[in-house]
Amino acid sequence: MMDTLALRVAERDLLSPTLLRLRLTSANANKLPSVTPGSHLVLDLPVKDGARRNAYSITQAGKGGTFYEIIVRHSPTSRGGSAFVHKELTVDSILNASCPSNFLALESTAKKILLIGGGVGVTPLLALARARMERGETLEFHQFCTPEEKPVFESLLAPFGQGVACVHAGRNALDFQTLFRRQPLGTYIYTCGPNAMMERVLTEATAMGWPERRIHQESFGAGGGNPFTVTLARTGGTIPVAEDQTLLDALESADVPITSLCRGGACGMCRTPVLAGTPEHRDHFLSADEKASGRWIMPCVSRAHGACLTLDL
Amino acid sequence: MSICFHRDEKFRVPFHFSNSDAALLRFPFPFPEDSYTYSVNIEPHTRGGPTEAFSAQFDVDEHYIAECQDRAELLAAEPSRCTVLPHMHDAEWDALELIMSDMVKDYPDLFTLTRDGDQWTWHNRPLGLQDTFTFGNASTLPCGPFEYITRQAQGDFTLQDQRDGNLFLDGVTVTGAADYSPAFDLGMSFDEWHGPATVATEMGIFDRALQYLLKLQVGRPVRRLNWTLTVNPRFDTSAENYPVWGPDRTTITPDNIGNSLFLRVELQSLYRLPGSNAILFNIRTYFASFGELCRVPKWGRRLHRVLRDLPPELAAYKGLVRFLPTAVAYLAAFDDGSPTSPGIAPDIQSLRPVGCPA
Amino acid sequence: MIPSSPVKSRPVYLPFGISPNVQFSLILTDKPTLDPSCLRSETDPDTFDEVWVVHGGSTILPQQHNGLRSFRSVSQLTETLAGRLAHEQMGLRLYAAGSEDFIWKTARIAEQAGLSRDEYSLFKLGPLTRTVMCAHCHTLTRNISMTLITCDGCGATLEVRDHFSRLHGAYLGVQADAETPGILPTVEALT
Ligand code: HEM
Ligand code: FES
Repeated sequence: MMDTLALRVAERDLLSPTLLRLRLTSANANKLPSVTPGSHLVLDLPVKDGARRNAYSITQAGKGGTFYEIIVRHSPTSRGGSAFVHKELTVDSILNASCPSNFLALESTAKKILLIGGGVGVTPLLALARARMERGETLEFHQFCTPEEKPVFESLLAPFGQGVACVHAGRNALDFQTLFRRQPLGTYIYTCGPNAMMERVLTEATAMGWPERRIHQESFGAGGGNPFTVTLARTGGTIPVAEDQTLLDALESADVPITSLCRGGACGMCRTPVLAGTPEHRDHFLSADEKASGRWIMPCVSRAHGACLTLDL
Repeated sequence: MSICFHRDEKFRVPFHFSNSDAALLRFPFPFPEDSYTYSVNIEPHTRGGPTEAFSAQFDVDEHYIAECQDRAELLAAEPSRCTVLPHMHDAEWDALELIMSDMVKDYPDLFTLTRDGDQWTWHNRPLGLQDTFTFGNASTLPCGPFEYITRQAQGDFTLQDQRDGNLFLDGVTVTGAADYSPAFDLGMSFDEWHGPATVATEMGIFDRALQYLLKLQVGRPVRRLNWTLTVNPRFDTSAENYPVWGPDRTTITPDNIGNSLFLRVELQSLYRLPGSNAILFNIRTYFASFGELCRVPKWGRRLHRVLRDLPPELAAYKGLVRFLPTAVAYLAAFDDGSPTSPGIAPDIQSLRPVGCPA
Repeated sequence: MIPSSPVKSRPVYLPFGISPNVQFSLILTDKPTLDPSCLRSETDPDTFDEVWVVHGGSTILPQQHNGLRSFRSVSQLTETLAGRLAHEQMGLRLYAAGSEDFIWKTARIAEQAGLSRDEYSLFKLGPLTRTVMCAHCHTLTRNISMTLITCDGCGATLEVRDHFSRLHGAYLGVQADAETPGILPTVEALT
């Protein structure tokens, strides 16, 4: 279902020992799809023990679909994806990606946006800030990082100017209460970074009367999840569902006949009876009671809690 | 493929409208089964589907010129039928770019777009228009960008802004409202503008559809079909002009029903716009008279069953009550009781010449 | 039969209540007979930082006493409000209590100033009258208490619907005898 793009690494720029900026162009000289600021790409990374699919925010997109830019942090805890990007990708490497998606878009009526980033969480915020700046709209950008990386982040935020953007070394370098109290009516917060930081932003701002809907956190959508296996009770097969694949895609690739329509958990066409295992519901179709009963699943969006699920198929 | 445009059609008194055989066979008949009720019938809007009406993103057919003319006449009389709120400025240009690009892709022999940086030249052959303008600068177009492009595409268009976890109806070019007032609904949220559709609300249709649309992505448009019955091939059945067209509902008789009662189908498509993050909604309306539809045996049989068994509360909401019994009686003659295949395809390649039921 | 729900655009006014966790709260009312101290006494007297009341009378000066401010008219209040909100910060909650016309007027000013629906609350006080917008000529007819009315603009006999527009602050009115001129439904009191 997912449209794929073939991308070529056009430029590779090591910003710091762990931060790598890549400029990606179309591998076959096509125009890249237009994207809204805040979008991310899912790259197919052919690591040694299989394939990894990692989501990266697009920090900048060329006008007229000429390029996408991303910044990748090499994290020591990475399961191979970011290490692959840092070590194996060179200029002219070709790789596949899914078409960009966006779950962190700008709101057209915002009077001001307040951006709060932590570490590599800077990436989607850069695109949002650039779009606001180009339209001459108000923004304020606060970025947290370690003291060693302060110069790198300062150069990334330099285009927005002093007084608009500020880099803070250490997580207590900024008092959120003072910051939140002086924001004009109609301000939206966009935050991306470690969960603890995003949680703190949310708790402190809501405690001061900010509506929750005025606070946006990067989530990359809820597409994938843990891999699991489904057993088909009637036909007897077992099918693996990969972390980046929907249950519906897995059933379809195994030629299990199943009707679907919207592929987004709304229409109800793909409803399937569950015989064993616990579904992790992500749809808008089943009622709360039906969800609690665990007797149905919508394979286009929902997954399994645990390692297996048995379906009446 | 070249289209033979019906230039002399009239969608108001004196009505003048018909479908060619080819147009009838490509009609987006809205009933995949023998019964109908509301559902979240949304699917990906990919090129290609059960009839040819699904081949393009913005379908152009033989009624193109006449429909653009009808819209131009109504906009001249009632300019407020095109209204866009000021914060939708980026979305207007986004919509223009999307519609132009897709029309050029689907109909290269009818439309061309030449881009030289921000200098764009748009050539619309069927309407005989050629304009050079600066993308992003509305003063270089004869009217606003949204109005400009929606005057040149079939069907109504609306712009939805997404904010605070909802969609807002913040821009319209609506000259074919099926019994609602776009001027009144302007600025409303998704659940508010759907407020009068209380039966679908109760079924939870709008809660689910909204959650789905909030996640709509650039480059992955979706579509659904909606329908009603309209007396005469009249686009402008707006709430504004209800006193003008409302009396038509009392005029249906067994003698005129075949020519005067129309199945009105809306092929609705929704697109996330890449610059503004707004959603563009196209309500592409198709008419076929009962007489025309019954030339396709499967459709005649199915329409009879659907209308015969239609939940009364749906018939009331859609305003069909006055003529529904006459319609069901007329259609009964075309239903021999034999089974119909699933899906909406006509299941025939060509039509028998006009005549009586076999 | 599939049951039908109420028209979702029709506003539902909750009983008077206030939200916790706010930095600043401002209540507006167009009901001078409604002693502001009675609003305050619903909760703690210090619940609202400021109370703005339309008292009427051309000699009233816009002075402020202990957070209480009086206005000559609704227009004077709404003009002042727009200017004030332009300089306010996040964490403000706006409350408006009064006639339906008044509270939706203030809601529109609040939205223009950037407040979301979560940041203002409206409470309807007084008689059950509606403002109606004619579907056919877009004229507003005010103080309506029956289900059938004559449009102030085009003279059509309108049936008053529950469909409500926040932008216009009005309910939809549609010609009651459009299909069969002269044949009208019975008139009832609006609820
Ligand atoms: C986002 C753009 C959309 C717009 C602007 C729109 C607009 C409208 C309007 C104006 C009405 C008439 C309400 C009235 O009676 O006053 C309507 C009816 C309805 N809409 Fe939508 N709609 C949209 C999307 C959708 C979607 C995605 C669904 C999916 C299920 C949907 C389902 C319906 C249904 C079931 C009705 C009742 C139709 C009937 O019985 O004829 N709409 N819509
Ligand atoms: S395909 Fe629509 S709910 Fe799964």
